[in-house]
Amino acid sequence: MKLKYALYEQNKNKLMTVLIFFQTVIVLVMIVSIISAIVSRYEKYRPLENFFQGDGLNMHITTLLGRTGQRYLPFTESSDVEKYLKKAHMVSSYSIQMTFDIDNKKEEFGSWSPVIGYDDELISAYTPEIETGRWLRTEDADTDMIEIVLAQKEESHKVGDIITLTTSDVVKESRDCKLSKPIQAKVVGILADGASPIMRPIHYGEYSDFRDYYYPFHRDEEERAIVFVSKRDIEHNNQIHAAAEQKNLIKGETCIWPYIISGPCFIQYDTGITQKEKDHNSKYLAVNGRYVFRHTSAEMRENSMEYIMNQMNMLIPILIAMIILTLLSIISSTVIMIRQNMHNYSIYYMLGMTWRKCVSVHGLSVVIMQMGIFLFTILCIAICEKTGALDRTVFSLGGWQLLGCFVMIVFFIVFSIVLSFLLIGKRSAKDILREIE
Amino acid sequence: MVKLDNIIKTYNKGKSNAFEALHGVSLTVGSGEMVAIVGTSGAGKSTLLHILACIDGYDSGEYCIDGMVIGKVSEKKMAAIRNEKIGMVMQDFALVEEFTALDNVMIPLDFASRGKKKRKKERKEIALKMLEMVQMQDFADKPVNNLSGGQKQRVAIARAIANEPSLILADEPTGALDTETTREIMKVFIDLNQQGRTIIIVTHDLAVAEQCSRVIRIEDGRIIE
Repeated sequence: MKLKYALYEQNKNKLMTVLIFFQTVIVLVMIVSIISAIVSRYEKYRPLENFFQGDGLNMHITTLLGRTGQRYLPFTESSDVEKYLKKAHMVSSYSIQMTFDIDNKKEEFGSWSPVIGYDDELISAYTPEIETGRWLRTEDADTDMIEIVLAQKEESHKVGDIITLTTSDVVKESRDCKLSKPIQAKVVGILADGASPIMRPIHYGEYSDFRDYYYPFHRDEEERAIVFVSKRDIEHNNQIHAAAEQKNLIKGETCIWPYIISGPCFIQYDTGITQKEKDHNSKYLAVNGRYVFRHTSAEMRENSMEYIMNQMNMLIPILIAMIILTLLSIISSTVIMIRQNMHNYSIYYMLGMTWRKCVSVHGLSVVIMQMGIFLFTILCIAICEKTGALDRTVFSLGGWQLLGCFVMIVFFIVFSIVLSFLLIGKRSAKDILREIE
Repeated sequence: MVKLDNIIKTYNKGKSNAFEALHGVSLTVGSGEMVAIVGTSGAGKSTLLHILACIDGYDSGEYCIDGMVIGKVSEKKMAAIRNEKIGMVMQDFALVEEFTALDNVMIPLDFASRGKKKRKKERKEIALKMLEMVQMQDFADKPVNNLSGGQKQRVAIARAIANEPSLILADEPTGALDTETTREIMKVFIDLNQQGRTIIIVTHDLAVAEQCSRVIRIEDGRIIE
């Protein structure tokens, strides 16, 4: 019954409804954009949060050499490095010394494309935005090929394509060796334009916080494709002969380098590590490693949180100002709407409604309008997101954004109902009806 | 069935501009009566009617309708009394202008208390029957803002009788109508009275008052005859 009268109220106050509608839509869009801005920053910090916990070192390594027999050769396993460090756990990324067969999509991959490998912990810590397919897995592949995710400049490949990997020309030239046979790789995912995979950005060290670990991938700015693989996948796949040969390399004889520790690298110290042990580790890395970025976990944590808080401090006042403006507008619109409806409320009162029920009719009308606005806004944003209109923006629709909008809508509903409580029934029905006469 | 005993009503009580509109009004209206309350402007006749309609309160005295003392009941019960026992017709019709005639007549039926509320189909049938009683069945689906004054008043009367109240109150029901329409509307009231309904009409039109079985004159907040 109330619904009929609430809907009528909407229809009666079209102009005010439209006014409130657009104002609230703007506020919700603002809320989504501001929350998106904060969340996007925090969401980039969160995957690395664990690596920044406690004591440790965070680096971008170029190479890390270890003594193998009579020779110093680059380390290929983080577990091998751990043996030389004290009370340390290392999670690393790798430079895979392979590239695409140049016969395969010459126009795009004619030049050397970096192949980035990750330890399982890095794969599971963060999934960059995928356009199609999926991110790398931490389980063994169910195919006899290694799985790769492509960040491609052109739309040359799609999920399911089989690509041949061969020894990098760089390696061939420098080491005069090659893989014993080409390796088949299956594309399982295509990275989205605007995604930020964990790898060394061009301007690393610019921020000294978590942002220094993300590479902003933009198709039209790239010169070549980037390939992402699981280091474990390469290591465990029987078809990858390089892995076996690499083991030989570590033993000191053969000369293929399928992969080396290179790029983002996180060393976490066990609790109870002494200063002396830390000094030992630092010294070992300084002597044997070539790195371009090195900060302690405490520095990374503090710098990251400072950055996020600064962003919040900057954005939240804008949001508060917007909410206050809308609230003022809602107050005036509600007052006008209620005044316009008072004649009808007085008729309803005369015919057997209590003032409280009149408030509930108004409340239902507000709920219908605000929920309509909420759904409309969310739908519009979702459509924009789906159609790619929001690509390259931080604008996104996640749980926090939905919660923020919902809380705001509930706040507007409660505020409007409280206002109607204060206004409806304050004057007698007969005065209002006589006023019309 | 309607009994007022020594009703006093003061506006702006406790303020410097306090004004006593009714000075101890006592009145009894029996079931099936058609009573006119007449008086000059500001005499207190509308105040009296609004108290009878339970849309205005009083300061002292006692008002009983069908033996129930008004003023000692909750707001919810008061709303139920307005809905079930009283039908109100106003000078300006007090219709929801954008609603159709049928929707307007259905309002009191929609507001019936939980146990007494009828199904929608039944409510619609009753509303159509009421419109038929006032010869407005052909205008049921027309928005009332497209109707003439006389037609609007007929719709207002149909709405007032929709819940079959024991008391119909009319505040200057012909005040906004021409002579011919006034005659038609009064005929509707007389027909309803002949069907056994109790009607109290506030009017300053003596021609209207003369058609009632009893005329009560009020002056300066007192009933004088």
